[in-house]
Formats: sequence, structure tokens, C-alpha cells
Amino acid sequence: MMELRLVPAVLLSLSAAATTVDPIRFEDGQAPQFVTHTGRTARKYLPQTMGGGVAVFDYNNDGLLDIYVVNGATMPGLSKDGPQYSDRLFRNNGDGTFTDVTDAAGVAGQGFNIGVAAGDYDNDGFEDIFIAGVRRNTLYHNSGDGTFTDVTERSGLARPDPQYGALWAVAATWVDYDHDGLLDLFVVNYVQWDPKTEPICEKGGLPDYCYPRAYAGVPNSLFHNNGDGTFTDVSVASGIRQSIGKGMAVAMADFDGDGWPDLFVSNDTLPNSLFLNERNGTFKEAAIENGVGFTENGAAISGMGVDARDIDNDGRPDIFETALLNETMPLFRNLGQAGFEEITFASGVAHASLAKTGWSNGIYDFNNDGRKDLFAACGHVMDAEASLRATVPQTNILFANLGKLRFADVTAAAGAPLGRRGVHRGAAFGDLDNDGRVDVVLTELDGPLRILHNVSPAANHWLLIRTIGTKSNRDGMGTRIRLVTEDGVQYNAVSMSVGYASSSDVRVHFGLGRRTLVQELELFWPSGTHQVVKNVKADQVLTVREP
Amino acid sequence: MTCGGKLTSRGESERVLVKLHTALALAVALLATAGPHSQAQTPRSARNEQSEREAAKERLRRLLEHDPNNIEALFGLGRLMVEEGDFASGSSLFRKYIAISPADAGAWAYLVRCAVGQNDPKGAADAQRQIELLAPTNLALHAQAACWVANSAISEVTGREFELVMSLAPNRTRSGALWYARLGQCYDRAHDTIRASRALLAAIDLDPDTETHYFRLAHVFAGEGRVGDASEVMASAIAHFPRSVTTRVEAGTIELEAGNPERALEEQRQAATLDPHSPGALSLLGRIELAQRRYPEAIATLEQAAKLAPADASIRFYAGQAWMKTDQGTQRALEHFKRSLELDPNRASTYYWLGSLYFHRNQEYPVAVQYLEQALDRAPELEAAHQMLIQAYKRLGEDAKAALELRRYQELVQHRAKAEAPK
Repeated sequence: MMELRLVPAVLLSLSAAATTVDPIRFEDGQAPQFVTHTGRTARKYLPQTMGGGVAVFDYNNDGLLDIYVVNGATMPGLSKDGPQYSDRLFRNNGDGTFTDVTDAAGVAGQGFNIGVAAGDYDNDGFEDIFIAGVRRNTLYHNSGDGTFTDVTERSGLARPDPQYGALWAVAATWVDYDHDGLLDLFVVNYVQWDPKTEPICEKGGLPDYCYPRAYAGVPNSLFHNNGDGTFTDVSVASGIRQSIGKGMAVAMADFDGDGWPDLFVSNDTLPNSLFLNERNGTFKEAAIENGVGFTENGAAISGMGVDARDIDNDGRPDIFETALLNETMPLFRNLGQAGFEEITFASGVAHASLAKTGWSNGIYDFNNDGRKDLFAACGHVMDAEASLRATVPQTNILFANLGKLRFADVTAAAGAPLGRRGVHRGAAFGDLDNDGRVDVVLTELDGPLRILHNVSPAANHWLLIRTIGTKSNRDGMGTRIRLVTEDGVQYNAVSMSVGYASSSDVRVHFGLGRRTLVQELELFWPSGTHQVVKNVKADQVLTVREP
Repeated sequence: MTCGGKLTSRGESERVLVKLHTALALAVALLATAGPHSQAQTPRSARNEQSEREAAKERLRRLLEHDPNNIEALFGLGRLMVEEGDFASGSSLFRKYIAISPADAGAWAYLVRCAVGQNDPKGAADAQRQIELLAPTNLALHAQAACWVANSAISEVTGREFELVMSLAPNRTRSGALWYARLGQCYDRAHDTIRASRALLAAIDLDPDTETHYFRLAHVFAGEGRVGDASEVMASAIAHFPRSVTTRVEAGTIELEAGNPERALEEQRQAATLDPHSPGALSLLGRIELAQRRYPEAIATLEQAAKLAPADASIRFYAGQAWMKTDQGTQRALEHFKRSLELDPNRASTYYWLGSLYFHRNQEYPVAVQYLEQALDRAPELEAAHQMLIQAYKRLGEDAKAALELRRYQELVQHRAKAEAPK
């Protein structure tokens, strides 16, 4: 017998047939008072268009996601010479409010920061923070008592690059690439940049930011975790160094299904990079041979954010990338041995995304119907491009997954906050109130921090899984999860690196539709351990410890 | 001595013949390097040309078997080898040639090209000195040599040859502008915009009444993001050709490509005022609408332009672009792109888009392969075409071809990495 739905589904008119989908709704959450400052000046400096990284992670292990947001600095001095430039840590009070604990925690930061990655690199059970910045990065070790210690120097991460000098990092991911049980650090670097040599550009007779082509590319960096609080730069030995890019974001996933974590890097005006793990400490760059270097556009796009998750539940992580206005937001379907196929147009994503410049993005099941949807934070780059029929402040975009690799733009029906324009940049995804619905924390350049509180009304069920590694890294980063209900099979994986410059909930979310029981949960840990958990009740945060 | 004897016995008429061959070969070579659309050929004629080329090589080899010092055969085969990128063989043949005819500056120019192709700085410098010595004021010859070394990593040779050509400019008449314009194109393609702009400025100085020199210079500046400089060049062109629709359209195109559609629209309106029925002005309007994602309007405008100028390949190309942005437009886009190819079979991007549509939208991989191969024949630097061709080969189970294509792509990437590495 058909179950009665409590909420009417949204009827979407598509070319082939009308399709129903459970509605997705957001309302404004009670965001902490915070405004990103980019040190705007009459003279234009490229970092002022970037920034806005945000993390949602549980720094004090109270089971609630806290928020860390990075901030800019003066330009061209790159110094935080005022409280308005401070990075901030906001503790989740559990009642929908947050408390600023930046000073107590000692994480106000230094320099012009862009991105953030949270992960427990020393397996002590407390999440640490890596901050990607302009010409300086920072590593904060979580002391476990509500405070952090700046260990950048001690860890070996402060050294300038021997060839390029101080690099401009945008994002990072924690990844145990060699399966030694310790999280290593992959840092996405953008371009060769120095405030002293910033070129002057104009558009339409007005000063404007220069296009990325005015700057030379750089390689990314890979740091091996030595297990004693220090890291060794293995960019050359691992092969990562061979690829020059203008990196904006990284997604970690097992793209080739060999049980080892691979890395996809979204590049700005250069082909994307796909680093396949060779299982011997090295990576092979294989974007072109796998069909993800370029889109059908015919030229390298301005790749921005990226997330990699399985949108069609065939067991293979797919790729959702954001890009500049008129470039679409590419969607690559993973075909396994045959590489990837771009389905941006075929999926229905292309047309709505052509009018947007996307930044941070995520693949999450926002309505818990068992199909992962797409969200992208949007806002244009250049000041003077209004004539391209694009305002710099833009509304974000939300695509509902209709199944069969089709998506529909449901932004207009998703609540008032989705209709608000902003120069959006960072977006971190996580269930802030543990109600099973994935919320979004958003940043805007020189604008306020916002929380999109997910109030999707469908009475669907869910499961959040927190993995605790014992032989594997403690976060379980890289663990692949297969979930079976009466409706079928779903796949997801543990990763915090989602979107652009941001760090999302390390817990893995599944929407279960009408199912209240997970028949089987399989976990494929990085250590090689295969774990099966049977008959798991829905609607809970489940902690799974590696056996 | 055998060589000398042979040459003496052939007499003056053969010398003249050889010189004529050299001049013709150089002229053909320069035309071939002058622009991406210069090797006029259809897909069918490309294959025909390949077989004709093989036949010619075979004929020349037979001549050399019969007479190893046949200078016509040495030159002809050497040229073919160089054109195929086999610089070692080309060098060997031209060395034999100059042993017989050491005063032929054209052969020395080919040796410069061979040395550059083999990354042999000494060989390149030696050969270059010979051209300088033998033909110090031959603009055509030096312009060709300078074109050949534009992409060279041997910066001394490139700089010297380029400066030599530039030093010839003050003594030239208007007809010399052509060589400087072509030189500018060579250096633009080599992404050496400083030299490209110098050469094009020289072309304008020599011949200020040719619009295309201004256009090319403006495109060089625009490509570098120097939009202000590009606009200034076009303002100068407009002042020189105030009644020219073409100049207005070109000025609009440059503004559009620089991301200033509103300024482009101003130019477009001026062009339409000068000639309300100008297909070029309509085409520009269609492109502006395309950039602004006003697809139905762009389609209507470009369809109208196509009716006014049914033989304009470019309008068909942009009409194809507009149609492919719509959900149901694939078939019409294919029709426009195919018609564009019939009108201009040399535009690599048209082959690319046809390949892309057959690959992504129609999943007809064998057809996609045909178009993508053609695109890469014409523009090997079209990186996205390499990716798609690799994928298409894979889908067809042709893994060896996919691997070969990947190697070609990797060579391109290495070249780019070298160029971007900090000095």
C-alpha cells in the first residue's frame, strides 16, 4: 500500500515528463555575528576576490558542530592589524545559538587566510585545524581543553617552497594517502603572487581585478605525516609536484575503486588535475585520460569548488564542480574503467548554472529522500562585469536529484534565504542541530556569516555515521560506506574537503526516504578492514568504531 | 670533386631552377605558417594530400637513389621531412644540399629550422649567420626564418633574427608590411606578445591603410588582457576608417572578447547605422546576445544574419554555438556547424564542436573521432580535443590510439610547464 506523505511533493515540469520530488526548504538560522573582511582598497589585489573559507567540525567533542571561519587582512600588508580581521571560532551552544570562543581558544590567526581544513592529524581524538593562506599557512593543534596551539613552525609546514618561495594556498584536505594510519596533508596552491608585483588591470575603463591568466601557475603540495607532530614535504617524491595548476579546491575520493584515496583538484583557467594513487606513495596525474581535465566547453574553465560523491549510487564517486559565469557547473559521472562522462547538459544542470559564478559546493541529500542533491554558493568575481547580465552579488543555487541522473533547479522553491543575493564564497555542510537534515554555513565577501537551516518538511528518515578509526586514521577519513535499505543501495565516504576553501562535517550523512531500518551497513576502512553492521535503526547519529 | 662536377655539369639553367624551387618552397612555407586557416583542405583533401605527399617522397627518394647529389630532390625531400617534423632527416638532406650549393640562403634557413627543431643552439646560430651573410636584406627570407624560430627555446637566435627583420623595416615600402604582419602573427601564436606587437606596429607604420593590421594588433593586446591598449588601437583604426563597418564590427568584437558587451553593443550600433543590412553587425549582435545568455534572441539574430550572408562560415559557427545552448538545439547546431565547415574547412574549432556534439550529445563516437582528429590536425594545441579524442577512442575500444593521443597531450603539457616555470 502506498504510504501517505505528510508533505505534498513539488511537481517539476521537465522536458520528458512531470516529476515529483520531496521539497527542500531552508530558513535563516541564528548565525553568529561575523563579517568577512578582505581589506578592500582602491588598488585591486587578487586575494580580495577570494577568502571566505569556513569549517563545521566538533572541536570540543560535545557532539555538536562548531563553526570556524577564516578572515582576510590588510592589503598589501597582509596583516591582521585589527579585530575585524580575526579568524573566528564559534562554539555551538546546542540551542541554535553560538558563542565566540576565538580568544579563549587562541585561534585568531595571522595573515590573509583563504581556506580551512579540520582533521585529527595526531589521532588524539580532537580535531585540529589547518588554515590555507596567502603566503603563509597555519596549523593549530587542538589541545583537548578548548584551546589550540600554533604548531606551524614545529610541524615543518612554515618553510617556504624552495622554488616558488611563499605560496598562496587556497584549500587543503586531510588524507591518509599511504594508509599508515596517519592523516597527511594535501595543500591546494593557487598562483605565483606577490603584492609587490601585482599587475594593474581594468575593465570597461574602470580598475578591476586581473584575470588569472595574468599570473603563473604553481604546483600543489603534499606533506607526509611523520607521526611525531612533524610533516615532510613529499610533493616531489609523490609526483604531485609535476603538475602545474592554479588550484582552487580539492576533493578526496577513491575514484578508481582500488581502495586508495585519489585527489581531484579544480584549477582556475587550466585543466583540472586528477591524481590517482599508485599505492606506493606516488600519484599519477590522469585527468585528461579520464575525461575530467576539460568540459565540453573546449577550453579550460575557471574551476572553483568541487565535491565528489556518488550521485547515482553505482558505487563510484562522481564529481560536481563549480565554475565561472557562462561556463556551467560541470557534472562528471564516473564510469569506472572507462573514465568519466560529462553529463552537465544531459542532467539538466547546465542551463541554470550558466548564469552563475559558483564557489563552494556540495553533494548532499538535503531532503533525505535517498538521492543526493547539489548546492552551490554563488557570487561573481570581477567588479565591472554587470554588463554580462550578471550582478556581482548572486543567489545561490540548489538542484534536486530526480533520479536517473536528472536534476532540477529548485532554488526558487527552497525558501527566502535562497532568494537572497550575496557575494558568496565559502560553504560548509553539516547537521548543526542533529535533526538529520544537512544545514549549510555560508560566507560572503565583506558580508555576514549565514546559516541556512534545513527545515525540509518531508518526513523522511536518515542516518549520520561517525567513524572512529583504530588501525586507520582516527577520523576514518577515506572510509567508504555502503548502505542497504529496502529501497536499494547507497554509497558515500568520509571526507571533510568539500567545495571551495571549506571543511564540512566529517560524519557521513544518508537520507533514507521512508525506510526506518538500514538492513546492512558496510564500511571499507583505509586499513583494509571490512566491517559489516546489520539492522541499524534510522534517525540517529551512529558511531562506528573500527574493529 | 663529385659534387662540384655535378653542379658544374648541370649549368646555370639548373641553378635558376633550384633558386626558383627554393623561393617557391619558402613562399609556400610562409603561407603555411601564416595562419591557422592557411592550409586550405577538406577532410577528404587532407587524406589526399597525405597520399600525394607519400608519393612525392617516394619519387624524390628514387631520384636520390639514382643520383645522390640531385639538388632538386635533396631540397624537395628535405622540405617534406621538415614539414613532417623530422628535423634530423631534414637536416641531413639540407647539409648535403649546401655542400653542393653553399650560397643558397633558403637552404640555410631550413637548416636554422632543423637546428631549432633539434634544440641545437650552435647549429642554429651557425646557419643563421650564413643567412645573414648571404642575404642580409632579404626581408621575405628573414621574416620566414624569424617565424620559424618564434617558438624556439634558443632565445639568442630568436632575438637576433627578429631584430634583423625589424632593422629592415625603415627601408621598406608599403608592400613590406605584409611580411611584418605575418611576423606579428607568428609571434602572437608563440605567445610572445611584445615582439608580435612590435612587428604589427611596423606593419601599420609601413601600410596605415590596411585595416587588418590594426585588428591584429588590437587582438594581440586584448589577448594579453591589455584592453585599454586594444581599444586605443581600434580607436585609431576608427579614426582612419570612419566609414568602415568592418572596423566598427572588429572594434565591437574586441570589446566583447574582453568582456565588455555594453561597449561592444555601442560599436555594433555604430556599424548598424553605417549599414543597417550588414551581416557582420548582425553577427556581432548575435554574439553579444550569446554572451549575455539571451539564447532565443541570439538564435533569431544569427539566423537572420545567416540569411543575409549564406556563405559566411563565421555566422554559421556562432549560430551553431547559440543552438547548442538550448535543450532541443543539437540537431540545428549540427547543421550550422556542418555548413560552416563546408564554407571554411580550416577552422579547427568547428571540427571540435562537431566532435563534441557527436561525443557528448549524440554518443556517436566514430563520428566524433573523425571530427576531433580533424580538429587536432589543424590545431594540435587544442587540449580539450585531445581529452575528448582519448575518451572517444576508449569508448571504441581503441586503447592503443588512446595511449598515443595521451602521449601527444603530455608533450603539450610538458611544454606548457616549462614555459610557466619560474626563471
